Amino acid sequence: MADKKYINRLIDGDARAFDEIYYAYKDLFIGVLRKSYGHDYDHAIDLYHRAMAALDNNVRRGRIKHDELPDEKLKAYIINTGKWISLNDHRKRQTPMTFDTEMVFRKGNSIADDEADAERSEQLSIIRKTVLEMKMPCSQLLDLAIYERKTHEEIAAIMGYASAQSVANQRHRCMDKLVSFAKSNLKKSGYDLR
Amino acid sequence: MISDNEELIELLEDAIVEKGAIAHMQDLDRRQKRHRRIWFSSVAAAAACIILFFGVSLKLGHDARTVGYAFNPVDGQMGGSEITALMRNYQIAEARDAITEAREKLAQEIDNPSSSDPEYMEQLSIDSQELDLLEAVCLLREGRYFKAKKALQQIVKDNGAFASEAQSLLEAL
Repeated sequence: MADKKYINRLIDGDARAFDEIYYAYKDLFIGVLRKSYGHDYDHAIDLYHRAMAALDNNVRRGRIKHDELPDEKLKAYIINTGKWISLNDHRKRQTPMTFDTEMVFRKGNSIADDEADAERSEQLSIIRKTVLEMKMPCSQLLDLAIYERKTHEEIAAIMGYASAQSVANQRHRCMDKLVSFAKSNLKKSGYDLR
Repeated sequence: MISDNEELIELLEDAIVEKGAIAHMQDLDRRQKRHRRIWFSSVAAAAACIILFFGVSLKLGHDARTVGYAFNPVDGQMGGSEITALMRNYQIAEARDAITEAREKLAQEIDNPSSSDPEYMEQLSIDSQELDLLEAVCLLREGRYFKAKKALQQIVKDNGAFASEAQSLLEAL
C-alpha cells in the first residue's frame, strides 16, 4: 500500500493502519540498522519500537498532516528516526543525554548537540521513568484514556467504575498525582519547574 | 527547559502514548512469533506426513517386489507357457498383456467348450486360477503392494488349486 494511504488512515484513527505499517517496515528497518550500525536484533527491534512510537505520537499530536508524507517517504522517515535515535543513544553513552521522541520531529534528522537539548532530553527521560513507575489503577486508566483513546463510558465498563463521571474524577486525580511525581523527580535531578 | 504545567502534562501524555505503543508493538511481535511458529510446525508436520507416506510406499513397494521376484513361476504346477517365459525374462508389462489375452481366450472357451468332458472343464478352471496367481505375482513385481495383497487374499479365500502358493506369498509379504 502507498505510504500516503497508511498515514492518512493513521491520522483518521484507524488502529489497524499502525499494525500494518509496523509489519510492513519491520524487517527492512532491522536489516538497515543492523547493516549500518552493526546492532544486534534485540537492539534493532528496540530502536524500531521507539521510532514507531515517535511516529504514532507525532501523528496523534497533529505534527504530521494528511498527504504530508508522499509515497516512499514514510519508510525513509521511520528509518531516519531510528538512525537518529541510535546516534543519540551513542552520544548519550558519552555525554548525559537521552532520547526524545518529540525532538525527532522538531529537529528532523539533525543531531542536537547543544546544552539545552541535552537538558531537555534528560528531563524527558525523567518524565518517561515517572510514567513507567505509575501504579494501578492510574496506569491502566491513563493508558485506556490517552493511548487507547477510550471514552469515559468505555473505561467505566472495562475497569468497573460506577459511572463515566467517576472515571473523569479518577482520571483528573491520577493526572494530578502524575504531575506531582514528575515535578518531584525533576526537582531531585536539579530541574525546578516554575 | 519545561516551562509550565501545561507543557509537562503534554509531555506526560506523550510518554503514556509511547509506553502504550511500545507495549502494543511487543504484543505484535509475540503474535508474529506465534504465527510463524504455527506456520513452521504446520509445514514441518505436512513435510513429515509426505515423507512418511512416500517412505511407507517405498518400503511396501520394495517388499512386494522382493517377494514377487523371489517367486519362481515355473515351480509347482505352472510353467512352460508364454506367460511364465515372459516373467522369467522380467517382462512384466508384456506378461500382464499376455495374461489379459489368455483370460479372454479362456472365457470364450468356458462359454463354448470344445469338449464337455468334466476333466477338461476342470482343467479350464485350473488354468483360470493359474492366471489369477500369475497376475498377482506380476502385481507384486510391479511393487503394487495393496492390489497384489488383495488379489492373493482372494485366491486364498477361493481355496483353489493355487491357494497354498498364494498363502505362502502372503506370509512372505
